[in-house]
Amino acid sequence: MSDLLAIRNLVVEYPVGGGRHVHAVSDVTLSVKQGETLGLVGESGSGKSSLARALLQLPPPKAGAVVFDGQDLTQMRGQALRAMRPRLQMIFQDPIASLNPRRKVAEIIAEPLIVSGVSDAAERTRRVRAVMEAVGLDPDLVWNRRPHEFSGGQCQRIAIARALVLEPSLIVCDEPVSALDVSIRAQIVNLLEDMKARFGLTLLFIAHDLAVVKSVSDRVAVMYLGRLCEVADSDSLFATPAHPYTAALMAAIPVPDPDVPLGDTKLKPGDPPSPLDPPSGCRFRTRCPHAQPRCTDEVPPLRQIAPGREVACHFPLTA
Amino acid sequence: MSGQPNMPLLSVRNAQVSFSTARGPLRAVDGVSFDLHEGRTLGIVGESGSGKSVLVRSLIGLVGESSGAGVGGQVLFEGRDLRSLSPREFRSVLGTEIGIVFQDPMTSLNPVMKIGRQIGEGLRLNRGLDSKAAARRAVELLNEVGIPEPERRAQQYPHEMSGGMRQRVAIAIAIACAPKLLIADEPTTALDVTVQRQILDLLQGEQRQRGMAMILITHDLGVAAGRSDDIMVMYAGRAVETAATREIFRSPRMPYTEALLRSLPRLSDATHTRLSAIPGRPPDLARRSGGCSFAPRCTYRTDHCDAEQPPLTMVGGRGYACFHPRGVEPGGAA
Repeated sequence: MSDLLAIRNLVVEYPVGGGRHVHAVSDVTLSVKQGETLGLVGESGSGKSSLARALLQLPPPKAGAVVFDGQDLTQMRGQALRAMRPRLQMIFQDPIASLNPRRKVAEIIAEPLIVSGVSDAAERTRRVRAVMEAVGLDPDLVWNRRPHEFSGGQCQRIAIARALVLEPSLIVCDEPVSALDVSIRAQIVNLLEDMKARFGLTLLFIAHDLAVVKSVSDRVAVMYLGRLCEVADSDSLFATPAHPYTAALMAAIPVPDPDVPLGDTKLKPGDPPSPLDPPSGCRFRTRCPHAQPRCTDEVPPLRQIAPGREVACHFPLTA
Repeated sequence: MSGQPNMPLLSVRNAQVSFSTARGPLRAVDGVSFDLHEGRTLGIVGESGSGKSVLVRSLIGLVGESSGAGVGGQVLFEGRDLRSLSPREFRSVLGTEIGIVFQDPMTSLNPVMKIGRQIGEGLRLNRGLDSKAAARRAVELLNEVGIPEPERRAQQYPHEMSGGMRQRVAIAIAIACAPKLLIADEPTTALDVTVQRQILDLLQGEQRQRGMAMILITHDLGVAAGRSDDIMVMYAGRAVETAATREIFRSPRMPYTEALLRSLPRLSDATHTRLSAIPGRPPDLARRSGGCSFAPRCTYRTDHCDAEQPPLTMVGGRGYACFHPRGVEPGGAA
């Protein structure tokens, strides 16, 4: 499979006054293959949402390249960038907040068509109806209703329909099920899987719930404080985590089985450092049980340790 | 504790909470009963709108007439009926014998009061400590909940701390007066998973060391599985299943519990394993039917389920509100 999206040396920083910056994403290189789902995992402050927005140029990153289907989006402006936008869509965490409360459902889903220049109203109606049916909304029941009349799960269906209506190649899903009730999550996860198969989509699936990520992702990338820790096939990452942070994350997951003993994260006590002032060298070293002097001095580069497996650690667990 | 060894610390009978809305009365909690014994942890599990938070808040007076709610039922704490106490007596019980930790420490802490003073406040008001003694004790408590440099931290304000630190402070406040019952309402939902782990370890450690009983309200079945002795599952304002934690997970009786457990993605499943989703969504509480609230989503539904609301049936130490319980022979006991 070829790369649909290649992110190279991406840097996202936000000024916070006094000449200081939040180092949200630092030198991240990552690719998403055509037709795959890449899971992106990390805690708050890891930079996963900043990365997602930067690759959609919302806003453009401070440095680095975002090559989508052979073209570097960071070098495109105005009309050229607008022409690419229909191919990249996004679904947000809070489905109710991401929908305009004053618009009718049909208008919300049709809006991307209007923006991208589909001027034939009959054509728009046909496409909106088709996409509503695809996501499990009955067009005759929902057409003239407004978002507040729907539950969170139904609103997420509307948001998915809006993302699909332009027939995109890539959808960035930023925590698409974490605001939903437990009994609704599986419906939306299954819907995303169905849509991916039906429309030949490529997904970047950002979430902090590792079980959900494992369920949908072919490969998984783990971020910590703005840097990538590890990238691997989903199955091997979960079977044998190579980065101590990945191992800690997995041990920390509350498993819904009382017979599974609580895992040992082996983390040093303390909270994650601030992305305003990240530690030198390896950013995880202040909490890492295996940290050595070298980890303070040298940033561990992301390197391949096995086919399809990359890790940014001087002392990976599976070496 | 009192003379009767088997008397529960907390006994709730037929708790009711209703709100009046433009569309008519909404019964958020509809006849829930449970007992909690000393030193035990009860996990209350449910989705949003299941009534789990409203139930517990009504027990401690945070939801009541002042907030426009109608509250009914009986709440016995160490045999005393909390609802018959004067406001003054009730405040004293709340401050000293029941501690509470909320989901968002940023909103539960006072933003303009130094942390040490907030922790010491209860000790001054309820335990008669002078400011100096209260301040000393606050530093000890900060140390106990795992905050480094407690003397310096005691002089800080909540905004100077991370979310995990703030929740540690909230726990220090809750345990300051050595309560017998600790209520934790989604205590880690706002936190990252590695911090969540530390906070749950802290809560459980304090609970064991101090012999407190705990009510742990959570929507996360993983958290409930690892941290509670017993579980009460709520759906649409009612308790639909109660049992020892292991029994709930091994052999759920209520089809809702069973469906919920089956719908969870598991790390042991291969990637792209299809999830068994529960169709439909929780009911609108303002438009209750006469039957089982879960019936419209239930695989085992019959006409009986639509016609009549199944009562919580207690069999062999566990309870379920279902006419077609799983793992029980028809017509026989478990």
